[in-house]
Amino acid sequence: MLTERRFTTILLPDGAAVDELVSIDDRWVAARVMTDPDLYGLELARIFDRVWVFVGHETEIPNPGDFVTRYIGADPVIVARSADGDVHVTLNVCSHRGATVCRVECGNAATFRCPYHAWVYDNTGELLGIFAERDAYGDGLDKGTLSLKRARTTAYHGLIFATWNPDAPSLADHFSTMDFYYRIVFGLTDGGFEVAGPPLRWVENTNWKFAAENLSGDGYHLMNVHKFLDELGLIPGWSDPTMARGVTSVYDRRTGDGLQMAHFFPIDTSDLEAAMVTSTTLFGLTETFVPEIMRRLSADQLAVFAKGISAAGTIFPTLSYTALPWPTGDPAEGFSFMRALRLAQPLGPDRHVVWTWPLLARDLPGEEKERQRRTTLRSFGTAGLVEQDDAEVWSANQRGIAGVQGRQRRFRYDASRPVNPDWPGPGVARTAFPDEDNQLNFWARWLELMTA
Amino acid sequence: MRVRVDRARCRGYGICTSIEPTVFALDDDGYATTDDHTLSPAEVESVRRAAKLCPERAISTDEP
Amino acid sequence: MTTVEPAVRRPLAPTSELGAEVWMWLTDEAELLDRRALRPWLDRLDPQIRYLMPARATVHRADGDGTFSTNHHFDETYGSLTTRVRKLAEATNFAEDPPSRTRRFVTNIRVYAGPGDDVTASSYLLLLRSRGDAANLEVLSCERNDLFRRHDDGLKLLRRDITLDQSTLGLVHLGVLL
Repeated sequence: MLTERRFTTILLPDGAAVDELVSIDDRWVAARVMTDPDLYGLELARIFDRVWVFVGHETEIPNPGDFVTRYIGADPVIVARSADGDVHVTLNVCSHRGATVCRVECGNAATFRCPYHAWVYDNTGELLGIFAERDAYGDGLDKGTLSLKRARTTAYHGLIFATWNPDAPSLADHFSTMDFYYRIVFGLTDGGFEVAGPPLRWVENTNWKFAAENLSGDGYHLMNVHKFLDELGLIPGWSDPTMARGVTSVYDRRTGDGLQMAHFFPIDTSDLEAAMVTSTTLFGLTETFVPEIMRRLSADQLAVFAKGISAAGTIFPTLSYTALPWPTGDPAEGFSFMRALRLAQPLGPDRHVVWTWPLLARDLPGEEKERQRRTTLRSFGTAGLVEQDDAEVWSANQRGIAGVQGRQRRFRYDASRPVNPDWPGPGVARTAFPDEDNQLNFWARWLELMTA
Repeated sequence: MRVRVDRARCRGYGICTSIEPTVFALDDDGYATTDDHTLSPAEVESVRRAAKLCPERAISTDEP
Repeated sequence: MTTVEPAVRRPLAPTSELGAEVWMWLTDEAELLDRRALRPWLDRLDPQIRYLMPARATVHRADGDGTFSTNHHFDETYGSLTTRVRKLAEATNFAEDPPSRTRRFVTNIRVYAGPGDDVTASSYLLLLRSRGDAANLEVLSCERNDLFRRHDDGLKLLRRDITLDQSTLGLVHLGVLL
């Protein structure tokens, strides 16, 4: 059972207390959390500045000198691979007077020269040289204290996370519960996964949390918002809610992460080897991957995987992912598989940018990778058949709660079933559909960070 | 290998001298100089790096 | 192969027969899409059509124009475009029901004869879109590079490469066609 935690009272300018906006015990969240500019400012300080945030995938910067520019909250960062092969995440703000040092989105460079006064940094953030240094400063500046601000950086199954918080646990510790599932989704194969880039990006006129909390566990909307899948014969039976009764929702109370694993095509696992062939091919791979998967997964993980899974979830706060068998969208091309990373980058209380990368198993043949990439982007990309409807529904949601009455309405999370005691994985698991506990857990973590 | 600094291009960042102080020095105004000696093998690698990192491309070598 | 190279090939005069034919084709197409006459639009596509809009990123001048061939906003075939049309025309579609009000402005049309019996053309597209009662218009601007093949019933679109003028799209969803 989710419970309240001890908290500090933080007041918004009109006297409302932040801890009065969420009730975990009574399973509601005030709509104001999606509209208030002061809460947004608090989120930047209390969430994005303190937790591990996804900034890119290792395969976006494969070679020394490669870099991309990204954001942690509203802070721009450079994500670069240095000459020795390590990944560095640095604040893209010059130590002189705050100019943006790197003004492109990707490239390859050993150094970055600030456009304003030409201070030169290397891609670890070290200040290498200052334009006309002796004329300007004599020998008076200690360049060692003037590096770009460095974030702690760790790659995890190819995903690059960064945090400004020196006291955050290590990423491995942070994911100690959920790694059971993330190994299945992101670390299933010896060769790992690569992203197709550059990321697809588009703006949505909604609060970032609509996307993040939805993907953490809102299976309930799928058969309604995306019912075109059934109507057009792309996934027959999609709009029948009983189809999803095998969905298991799992959340991690500590991190706020939530995911849903569905056995859409349940497989008889009494013959494990045979089941593994079916479940592996259903998860977008081929039979040749079975031996390495069986080596990489524990018996408990295999118990989950062998039944045949689809997965979707959110790594708190903003990185979501989906991996499931999916129609290519072209009846002649038939059925394939989609796997994507999806980031909701906040721009303000009612605006965010979606970033999407198809995520592809590196050791698949090129033609199959291309097929999965097209399958992913046609439904989950900028013009995604699935994405477009979510964007519209959330857009209408945002507009409806903008007023004084609207923001006082409460989002409800009443759907809840008992915990599944037989689930072989960690975290809090419920095999029930629909269930809104994952989303309530997202809010529990949000509240904890916003008030602690 | 021999190395040259183009004084007209140099803008006094001092990156070269911090990488290889045995080859590069800063004059009284803070701009780079080098004497015309043949580099030792130990110096060659760091001179290549200094040439690559000079933002003004003021360092040249006689390597093809 | 559909990239137009103006330095090498001279566009046809707009008053030439072929130039006028393609100008009319593109103008009619914009009206069909704005009016949501999507089946007639599909009829103007070659069954082998490839319809692509690559992702872009902002890069330094020396690194090119930032158009990448490794990820796409659109990567479509006749079959997948048919699915899009069906979703627009007949399926539950929250993004486009109620429909967007769109206005497509097609300009800067250049038409080239060839390769072979095919015809290529480039054009600018400015799409303005209004949704609901919002007082603003969303804007999308792009260039299309098209390859047409002549069928018995006229020119059909065999390939479209769309160069979007943004690296982050400014539309909240892209359910319409360009």
